[in-house]
Amino acid sequence: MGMILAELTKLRRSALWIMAVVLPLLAVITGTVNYGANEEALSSGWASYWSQVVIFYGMLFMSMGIAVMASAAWRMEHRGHNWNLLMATPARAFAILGAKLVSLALMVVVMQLVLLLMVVLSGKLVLGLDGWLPWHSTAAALLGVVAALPVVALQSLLSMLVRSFAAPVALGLLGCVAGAGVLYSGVGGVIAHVVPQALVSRSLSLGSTAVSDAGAIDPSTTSAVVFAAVSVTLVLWTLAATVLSRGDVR
Amino acid sequence: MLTAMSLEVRKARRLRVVLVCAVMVAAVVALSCMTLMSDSAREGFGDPAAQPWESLFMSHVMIAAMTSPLLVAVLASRQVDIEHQGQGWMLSQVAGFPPGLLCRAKVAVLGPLLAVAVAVQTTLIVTAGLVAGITVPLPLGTWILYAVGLLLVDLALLCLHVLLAARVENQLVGMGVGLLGAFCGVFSLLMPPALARVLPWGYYAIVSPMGMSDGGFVPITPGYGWLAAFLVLVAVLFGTVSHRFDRTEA
Repeated sequence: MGMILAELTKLRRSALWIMAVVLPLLAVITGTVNYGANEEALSSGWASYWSQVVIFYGMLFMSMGIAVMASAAWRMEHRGHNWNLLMATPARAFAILGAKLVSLALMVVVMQLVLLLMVVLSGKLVLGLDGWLPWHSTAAALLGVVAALPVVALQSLLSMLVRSFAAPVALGLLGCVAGAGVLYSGVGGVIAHVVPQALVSRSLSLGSTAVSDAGAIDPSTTSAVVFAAVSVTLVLWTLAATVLSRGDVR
Repeated sequence: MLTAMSLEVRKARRLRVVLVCAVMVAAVVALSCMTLMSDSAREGFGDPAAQPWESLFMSHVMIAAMTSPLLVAVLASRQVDIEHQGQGWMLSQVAGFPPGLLCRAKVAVLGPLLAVAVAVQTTLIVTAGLVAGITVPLPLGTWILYAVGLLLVDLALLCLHVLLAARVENQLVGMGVGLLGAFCGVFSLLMPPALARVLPWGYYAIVSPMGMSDGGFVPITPGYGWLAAFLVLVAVLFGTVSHRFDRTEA
């Protein structure tokens, strides 16, 4: 717990929260503008509006935002003599990485809550839509937090290994391409659940009207996403801890 | 300047900048060519009314607007970040290369690399279209015109990103701006032209020689006057700020 608090203190000073607020805000602004401009074509109210908000956010911007946040979280360890201090901490590599993952996951929670709040505010006040955001959109957004865990773990591993800020972000983009490819080519099954970025795109697009064959959000799809997310995260976490405890990253 | 450039080439080689560039180009090509996969698109490959080249072209324009800001931000950040990490500013200044000169040398080295990247990416997408079996005559002029425009906008943004990465040590800012630019870039195609002209990333839409209308894709005249004004403005800004860097302490 102490380590997580330490991580959060580090993150508080690194202006990361701007990322967690600005990215969802932009997704909502663009989604609102897009929905407003094509109101005749997008007739199904909240569902269409939600799909417009998450189409690019799920495909690219959420994963890229996480990539940038993970790079920022590890950058401070690579600076100055911080790496030596970190390695001299009386804590296991597993715990050090766990603290990083939890603090980054909390940022993702903030991101998704901001997204939901902004979607509802903009839908009510700007677009004047009747009723409320359907439950399946809320569920998809919250499922997105769990689905994002493998991306958090993967980007954290890359940012730990590569000292440069930008290189892991570039690799993250490649992951997004793989994710979009998997989603739009309709390859389901194991691959759709193992590529971290594909899992984010898939879970955010569940119940969406903008992606054909998006699938509904029901207990079987949800449990598959959760199971895949937890397993992939554990594998990546263990891998990162093994690497960190066996050798030095220089 | 030539010595500074040759030093930058060496840095770029050790930083594997070409590899980073290749990763990003692969991402753009893969995302742009995704439209060629669908069965409905395949049916129209021989039918001029189905506008197969136009559809591939617009997909390329959209993906380029979304990924180019990230590519430019990644390249600039990677090439500039080493100076912050290894106290390179001070070292170079002592060796007779003031910070402003270093920034100009970085742009001079990364610029040709971007030119190659744009050329390769355009060639690969066109080749993919031909290989996939589009038999409608290729409007080569449109592709070349757009590639040149895209490169000019990329170069202008590269200048701005190098200055930003040099001025603000925390690379989170540069990457965050790149991500913001990616958002603005993709939605610049849907924005009113007046708004697109105000945003640096709006020029990704302004250089497109094709637009969307109710009846499909239609040729439009790119706003070259606005583009020229933007390029002159960026050149003046880059010149002024980089010369200011020369007179300040590293």
